[in-house]
Amino acid sequence: MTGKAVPTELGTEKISKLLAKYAIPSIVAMIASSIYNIVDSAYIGHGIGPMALSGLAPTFPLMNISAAFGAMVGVGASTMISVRLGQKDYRSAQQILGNAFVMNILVGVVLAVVTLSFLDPILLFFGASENTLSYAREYMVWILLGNVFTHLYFGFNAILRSAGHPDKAMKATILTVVLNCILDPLFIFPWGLNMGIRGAAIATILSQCVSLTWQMRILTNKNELLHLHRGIYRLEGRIVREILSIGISPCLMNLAACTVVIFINRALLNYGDDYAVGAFSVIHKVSFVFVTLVMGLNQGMQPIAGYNYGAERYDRVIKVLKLTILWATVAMTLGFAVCEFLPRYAALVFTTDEQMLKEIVRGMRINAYIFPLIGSQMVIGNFFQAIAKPWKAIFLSLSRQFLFLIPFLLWFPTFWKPALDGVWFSMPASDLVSCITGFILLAVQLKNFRKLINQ
Amino acid sequence: MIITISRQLGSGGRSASRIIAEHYGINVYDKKLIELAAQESGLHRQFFEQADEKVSRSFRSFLFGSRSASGHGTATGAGSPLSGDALFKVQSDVIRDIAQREPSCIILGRCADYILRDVPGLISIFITADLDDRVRRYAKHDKISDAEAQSLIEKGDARRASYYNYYTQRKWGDAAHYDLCINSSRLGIEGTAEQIIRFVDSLSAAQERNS
Repeated sequence: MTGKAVPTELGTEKISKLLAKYAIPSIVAMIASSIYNIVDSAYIGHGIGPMALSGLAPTFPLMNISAAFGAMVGVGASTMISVRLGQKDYRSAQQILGNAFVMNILVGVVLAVVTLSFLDPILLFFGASENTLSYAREYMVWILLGNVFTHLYFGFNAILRSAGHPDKAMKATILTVVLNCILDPLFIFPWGLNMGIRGAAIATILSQCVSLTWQMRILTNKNELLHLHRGIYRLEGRIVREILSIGISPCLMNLAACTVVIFINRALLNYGDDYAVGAFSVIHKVSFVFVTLVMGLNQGMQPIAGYNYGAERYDRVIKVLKLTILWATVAMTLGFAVCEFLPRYAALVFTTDEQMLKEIVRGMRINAYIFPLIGSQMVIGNFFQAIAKPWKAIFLSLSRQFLFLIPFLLWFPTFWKPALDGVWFSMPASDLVSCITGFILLAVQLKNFRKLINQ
Repeated sequence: MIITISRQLGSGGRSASRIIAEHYGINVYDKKLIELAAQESGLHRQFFEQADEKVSRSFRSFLFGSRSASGHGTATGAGSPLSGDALFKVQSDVIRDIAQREPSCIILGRCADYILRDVPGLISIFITADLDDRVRRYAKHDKISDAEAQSLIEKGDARRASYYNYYTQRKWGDAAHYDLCINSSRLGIEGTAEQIIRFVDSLSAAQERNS
């Protein structure tokens, strides 16, 4: 962190103003990535067909795994750079930058080589079927060929953010999204270059490359405090080890999230068909739009709740918690409304195939049952992290994504009629249970606060 | 003249610094840094105490990082003000403040030698001692068995080293980064303090000759 370590306005300024100030940039950044998520799928669904859409589904966990390993370097390096810059140690910061650059390339290459060698079995395991495998493979091959660029792009974005240029990182993100929106139809559709699903992958990589060039121009500018230059690229064991040990945890968290999607894909394929798999990827993307709104709110809440808890201003802590929960619930209720009352419209963004539409509508409705409550669960989890109670935070996060979902996913279809519905219902069921655990933990914490305030 | 003293656990670094401070009539900053950091930031001192000279590499440590798994991090780069990194920044600002306000003082540990590396006339000292001496001193001070003391010392030193290495990108105890490394077992604590005073006086004399 550059500048003042702890802005004291966190303890004095009006809570609603603070939340707006800290959350809005995060939310904007999040919206950009949600759009990014949707664009590829929408063009592929319309431009090629429902089977292509289902073909994309197994590639998402794979891309997430790749992103997880990339993030390992990006998060580790940006954390360290942030610390060094805070100490005005520019020489060390640049060394870390150089090491991160090399590490990103290495990780990207190794990952690409390993994955490409086992691509078909991996995709089949992740939920592809013989109908969808060719689409999945075609897309993934090109994504993997450009893997190095993807890693560098995300890595530099993380570093730019921690080096005091969050605005530039956001611009780079928006640039990628806009370019992708333009290039996708050009490459995919028959009236354009007619490259099919391959075109979508190439468009994605190309957009990232353009952003990457822009990022590198910033980072090679000699006037920047942090810039690439000769001599920083020698890998130092200490730096590499430190980067990896910091980055391993977000990496694992991401991997855990991937595992869930893989389980779900396989279950849907097992008890349903390719249409169910494709439907879920659409449902996931639509709900992700609203989830990212809550994530943005959470990121805004963190510094406010953390500081005031540290300063023993528990009244302000409770205030910011309440306000964040309120807005998170609004966001998720909006999602609920869209999923329950307008599912067909949401689905039409991605496809016009009647069977796919039916499957999406059905699954989307079921999936969103507990949405209005899940917003608060997410906030509560993040709240515990902000006030330095990490175990409760991790428990709530895992319980929402993992802990209850997996057993329900395996168990429900065995007695539900039809079994496929059992798969769909396991999701809101897991949401409900995780909400209850969240509320219980919160109630206990609030009681604690009341006691501390009265002392 | 600002003196930073890094020390192994049980080497008598604290006692030696008190002797030196008394000799020159200057302040020693040890645990006081925590109080100052708490005052400066408005955060309760318990957070600084928990983070004092240790960086946890365990499962719970990463949870403090508000970096999201997708690598987005926070758009504002704000993060939690209670994270080890944030607390370290506050403490390091306090140390820099002290160095500016007080022309002469002693600061114990907390990466002060790194934080103040650009301060002209900084004198960095590393005090060690033989393991047996350290175990005995620690065991006597805390009223525990030798075996317990030894394990605490080994863990404590490892923690201190991790902390230092993480925040400074140097290696804790690497002689190349200290002006003087001294083994307190050879001359005892008073003797060691005397030697350090002699060293500091010689440095001041040399400075005066050169200016």
